[in-house]
Amino acid sequence: MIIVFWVLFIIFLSIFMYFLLSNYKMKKDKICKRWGRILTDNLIIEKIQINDSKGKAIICYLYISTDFKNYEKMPGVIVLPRRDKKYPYFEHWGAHFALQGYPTLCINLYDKKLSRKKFVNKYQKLLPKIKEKFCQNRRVDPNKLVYFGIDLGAEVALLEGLPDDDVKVICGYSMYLIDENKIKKWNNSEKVYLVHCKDDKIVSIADFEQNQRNLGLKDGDFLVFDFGGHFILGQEHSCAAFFSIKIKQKLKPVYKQIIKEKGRL
Amino acid sequence: MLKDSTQKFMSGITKEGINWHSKYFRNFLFKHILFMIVRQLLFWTPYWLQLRPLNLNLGWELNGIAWLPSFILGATFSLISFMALIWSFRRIDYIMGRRYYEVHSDQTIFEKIRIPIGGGYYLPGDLVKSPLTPKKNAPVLIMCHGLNAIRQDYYAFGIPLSFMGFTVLFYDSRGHGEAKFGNKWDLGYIIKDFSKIIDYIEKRADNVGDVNSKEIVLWGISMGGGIVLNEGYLDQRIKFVMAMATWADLQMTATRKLKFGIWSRERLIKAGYELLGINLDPTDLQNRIISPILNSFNKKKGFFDQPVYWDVDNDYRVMLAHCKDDEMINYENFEINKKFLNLKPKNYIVFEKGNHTFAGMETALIGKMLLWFWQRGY
Repeated sequence: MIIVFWVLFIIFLSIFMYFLLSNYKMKKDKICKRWGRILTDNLIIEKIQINDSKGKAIICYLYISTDFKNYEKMPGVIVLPRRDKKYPYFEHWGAHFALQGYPTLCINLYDKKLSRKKFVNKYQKLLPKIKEKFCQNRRVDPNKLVYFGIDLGAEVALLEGLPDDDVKVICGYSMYLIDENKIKKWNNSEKVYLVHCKDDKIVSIADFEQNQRNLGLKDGDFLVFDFGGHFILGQEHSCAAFFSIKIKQKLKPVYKQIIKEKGRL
Repeated sequence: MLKDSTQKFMSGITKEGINWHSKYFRNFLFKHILFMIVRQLLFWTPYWLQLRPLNLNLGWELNGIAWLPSFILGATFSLISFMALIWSFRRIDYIMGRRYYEVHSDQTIFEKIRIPIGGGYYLPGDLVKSPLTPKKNAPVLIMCHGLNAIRQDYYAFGIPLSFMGFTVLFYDSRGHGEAKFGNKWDLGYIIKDFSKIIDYIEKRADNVGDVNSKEIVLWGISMGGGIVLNEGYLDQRIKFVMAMATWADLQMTATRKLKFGIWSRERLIKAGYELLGINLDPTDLQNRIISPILNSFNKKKGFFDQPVYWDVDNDYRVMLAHCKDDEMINYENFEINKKFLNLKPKNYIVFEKGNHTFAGMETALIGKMLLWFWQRGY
């Protein structure tokens, strides 16, 4: 009979351990697995493969809103997301811009091993090719492009976007300090919008302020949150809305207006 | 760091608030206590069988102590039950509670306001402006929070919209946040208080001139959505409304058949609300006051049921959003609202996942919200 006790005791202990570990895992996952698939009928997702100069495939995801099927051309957004997360971790950015009518291409940048310099060089070389392919889409207005980058992606977006006249808006958050000589020679930083958090431990707020001075950003062209860290934890949708408002104000895309019928509430 | 959902829930419990009248709550407690007692009885049965008069020799002992195995099993099981409860709450927080920090930026100007609602009571609130908000006649966006929430919970949705030129008004409903009067469960009053907020904006537009009382947009989530659809929907001073994850018929929602299982999340959530004091078994009359399909959408509603016909352009006026896996306000509510309002697909967005808080869908939701604004001339 005492065997029953030991069996039950081991089962109970296992259940207890499961709950304990699960509690710990949930706490960790809440930050690490924060984002995933965006499943809605309003969104069409297309997987696109672009080969680099060495023939290696770069996977991109194109997001389009079903509400804009009849629209001819809209500004296109290219998203350079976090390089430490794979698809679908960036889908929330793709969905955000696409639902406003912008065809949005997210590049699967996942590449943790490369150094900062090598990573930036690699994607600086790749971005024009990706842009060319993206602009072939009939929905994209090739003269009104937006580059949106995160972390090192923001650096790539800025360095490639500044000299490119087709790129009308560059958005970036948690961007590293960029060599001022690389910025100042272009003198067209009025198209740059940045977001940063004061408590960013990877890129300090001082680096952001230096970038801001180098770019000559005015109040309203940037947004600084008090909290959120390097990956603007909990402020993601505020950041997204800020950039979208800036894109709208800059590009003035034409939307079919819904007008209230006269005499009705 | 903000309080997580469990901490917030615990702080919302008051002795006088517990809804002992609720049959569901009493049953819930009874089942859980019974579950515990029956298990303890099972663990102690071998020990009792070894006692007189049966005096059976079962070998149920440790170190010669006959009651020890029963005690260890009983104590371990109690510990597991406690852990399971904590785990269930943490799971709800894991699925729905995604906020870590309050959204705050030095670039936005916060003005603390007090909105008079009569009887000497005031609702506390904030007016948030950005550098791009006009100094005069700025359009106003009112954000209505959910049940057991506070106005700060929705800063992340509202504050960036100030960069569109809005003055964003956040407020705490009675019994919530800094509003230290009334109760969380005063749903009827909470809904009725809303018109006083519009009165406040009108007065401010006349006296101060910084806001435009002809340009008021209303946004609400969950209970806030209830305010939006019950009170804001027919208020002619409001330009258009956005209601997220809200109910059509509260009685139907609250008394629906819940998912099976003693630890089912839906059951726990319902018991949790009852613990906070919310009446989740409203009478027909109560339901009629707080359910939009019986209240504001009801074209036959009027004094002594004198029909009152409203001609509302819902294509322009109403926007809805819901997640199919919503465990608090089930998805059926959205379908009913959509049917009642005869909404076209461009007027709503539905996510497969995201539960009650649009968890993981926030950026997509705000994208769709912005589109709604762009299509209405903003």
